[in-house]
Amino acid sequence: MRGNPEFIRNLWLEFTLHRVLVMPAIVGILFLLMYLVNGQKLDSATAVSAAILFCSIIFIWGTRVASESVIQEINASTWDTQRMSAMGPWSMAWGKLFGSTVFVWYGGFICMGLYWMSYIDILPEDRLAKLILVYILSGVIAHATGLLVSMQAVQKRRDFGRVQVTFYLLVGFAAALPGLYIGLSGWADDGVYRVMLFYDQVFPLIDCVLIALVVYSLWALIGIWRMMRGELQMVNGPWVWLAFVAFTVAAFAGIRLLHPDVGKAMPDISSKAYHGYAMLLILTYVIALAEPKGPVLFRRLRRYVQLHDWASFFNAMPRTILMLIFVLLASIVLLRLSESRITVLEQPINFHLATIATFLFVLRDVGFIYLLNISRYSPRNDMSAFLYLALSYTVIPVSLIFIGLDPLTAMFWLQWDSGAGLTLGPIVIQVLIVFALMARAWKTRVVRDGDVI
Amino acid sequence: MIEVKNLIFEYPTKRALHDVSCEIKTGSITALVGPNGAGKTTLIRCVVGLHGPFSGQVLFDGVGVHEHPRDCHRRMAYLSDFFGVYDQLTVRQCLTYTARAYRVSGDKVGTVVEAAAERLNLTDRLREKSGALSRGLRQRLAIAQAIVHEPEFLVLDEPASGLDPEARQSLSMLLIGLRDAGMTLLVSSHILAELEGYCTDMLIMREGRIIDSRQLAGELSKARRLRIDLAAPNSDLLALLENTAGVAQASVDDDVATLMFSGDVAAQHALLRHLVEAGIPVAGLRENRVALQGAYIAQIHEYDSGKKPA
Repeated sequence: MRGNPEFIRNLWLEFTLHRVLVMPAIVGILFLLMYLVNGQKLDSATAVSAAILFCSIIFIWGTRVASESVIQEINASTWDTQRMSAMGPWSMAWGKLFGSTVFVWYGGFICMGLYWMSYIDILPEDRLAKLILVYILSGVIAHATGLLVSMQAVQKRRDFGRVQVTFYLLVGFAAALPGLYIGLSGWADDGVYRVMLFYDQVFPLIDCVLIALVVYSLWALIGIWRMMRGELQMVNGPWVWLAFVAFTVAAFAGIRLLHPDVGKAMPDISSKAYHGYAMLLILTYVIALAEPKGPVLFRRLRRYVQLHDWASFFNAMPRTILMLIFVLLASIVLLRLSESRITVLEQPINFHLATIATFLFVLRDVGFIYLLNISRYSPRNDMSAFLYLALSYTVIPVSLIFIGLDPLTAMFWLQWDSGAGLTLGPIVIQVLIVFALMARAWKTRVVRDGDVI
Repeated sequence: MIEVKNLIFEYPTKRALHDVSCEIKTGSITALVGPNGAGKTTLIRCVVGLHGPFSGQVLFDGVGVHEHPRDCHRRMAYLSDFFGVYDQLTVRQCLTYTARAYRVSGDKVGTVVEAAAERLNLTDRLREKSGALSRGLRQRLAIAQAIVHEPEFLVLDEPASGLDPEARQSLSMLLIGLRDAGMTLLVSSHILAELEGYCTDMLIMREGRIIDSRQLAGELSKARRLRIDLAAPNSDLLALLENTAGVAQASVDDDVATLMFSGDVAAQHALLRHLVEAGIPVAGLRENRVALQGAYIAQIHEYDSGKKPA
């Protein structure tokens, strides 16, 4: 830590004498007020006020400064100096993550000290320690995710305003929220640990949450490291992303979330596979929207193919293409593991047709995202695609129902128990249209422009 | 030192570099000139490894800049035209941070910081916040940051923009000093008259292409371009010049001769005496200060009129 120039620079910036004195003074005064209002007692009321102070400092302020740590360098024209330095991507990753937030952690730890003081005579020490760990690790997740998302955006644009930073802050907070919520509610009223099933084994919920928070903090840090490598023009192959996908899919496959009826209707293995499949779909959408994918990338890929440079092609290839291959393979596995028809909550489901249609919907949506990115240049392409897709799954089909055109919703929603024609027909047509438009855009923006300009 | 091979760079809507190849020699100060939008900054950013090219290669002493960016960055530095410094840090902290970021060993950091500050006349400003410095002083601080680790190759993009005449003069002297200390420099600028004062080589860019690459003076700018005005044309002059020590690239056009001369002022005096004694009707002998601008304008016109690029 002593040798990390980026961390030291942040210490110089953040820890001025004035700030070192002001933080405990403000936190102390606010806590003292609560203590006096509470009848000069240290109990759950003062603990909650300390926790609220912690959340305000760590989740709002901290996630904002973490999200801004690279953006501010870009806006201040100092980012090139850092990119040109001899600092490695790992030093820059943790130097920025923990350096930019070092002052908010100073405030956060003071709050957690007050939280400890408030609860020490009320809660068992191990439970209190675990609660504090949940707060701290959730903060790390929020900061790391905010920085990760902002760095992902840096790959596509170099101009940032408050709206973008607020968005990254919200994403960071959203990433921390499940762990924070489940972690804090991990006990029953009698103080006994709640439990959860993971691969059919019983584990204390709080321990699983803590492990998940640690592991996903590390994954987020690894993600920031990969982004830093990209900023330093180092080649990033797809292996780390694939490892993350494999880990996450395997982890979620083990969690028992499905409705018990579904579990009964499927052999046990297919219920796990369906959990993993759902996570695979989510990650496919995430990477399809997140990664850069303009015409220049495809011209470069085309050139690698022409040169038979398959290693470069594989490294530069969009991760989304690999994900689509995995979704296809996972769909085939699901088809083989499951019954053709199942019933969930008295609703019959044509499971095989629905699985095929699901893959086609993913194909259409990913194709649409790529179509926008290849057809025109705009840093807002992915946000536009997200909004259009959100509308197509919500406002448009709901409007169709309101005006009595229910059958047309088959174009926008998965049909659970219809025949092959209605379940597959509309989505097949849409996939064909999207890919025909993509082929046209490819010819003009990738092939023709690449040969002409 | 730097070899650029068939570099192509594309923005989403435009190809900014078209198969660019050039070379930057060790110990040179190379001027990179061209109109706005010619691709100078894009080329520079590719050369220092901040932009990944569509295709092509940049080699720094044989090492691929894009294949081994960190190895190369330790030995080079780049000052952008829109540079920034950390306003909340003191000048000393800025320099110390940069030295550490370039992996200068701990016991040497203080020494290199002092040396860089002294070189840029910032020694008495070390305790000041960089945000409180004037534009010229911030420029000096930015250059001090760039050279604090003693890079072998320094790239400056429009370093003189926004500087007053005095600051530009001191910048010129600084760049010559850095060259004399062994650094190789690549300087992009619009102010040709100033580049002429210290540049040894010139690359002219237009529409994403290098249209001319030339050495401005022999022996890496120890030579100067001289102009001889004659009272009357003389047919013996060219042969005489070509056989004179220290003279290169001599040409005679009617009653004006130009040449590159690598001698000092005493040698210039001897040359003048030699010409007069040989019966050449010399009316004047002076240093030609418009070589860079003239060459630049001529090349741009030649390119625009459709002639084949050099």
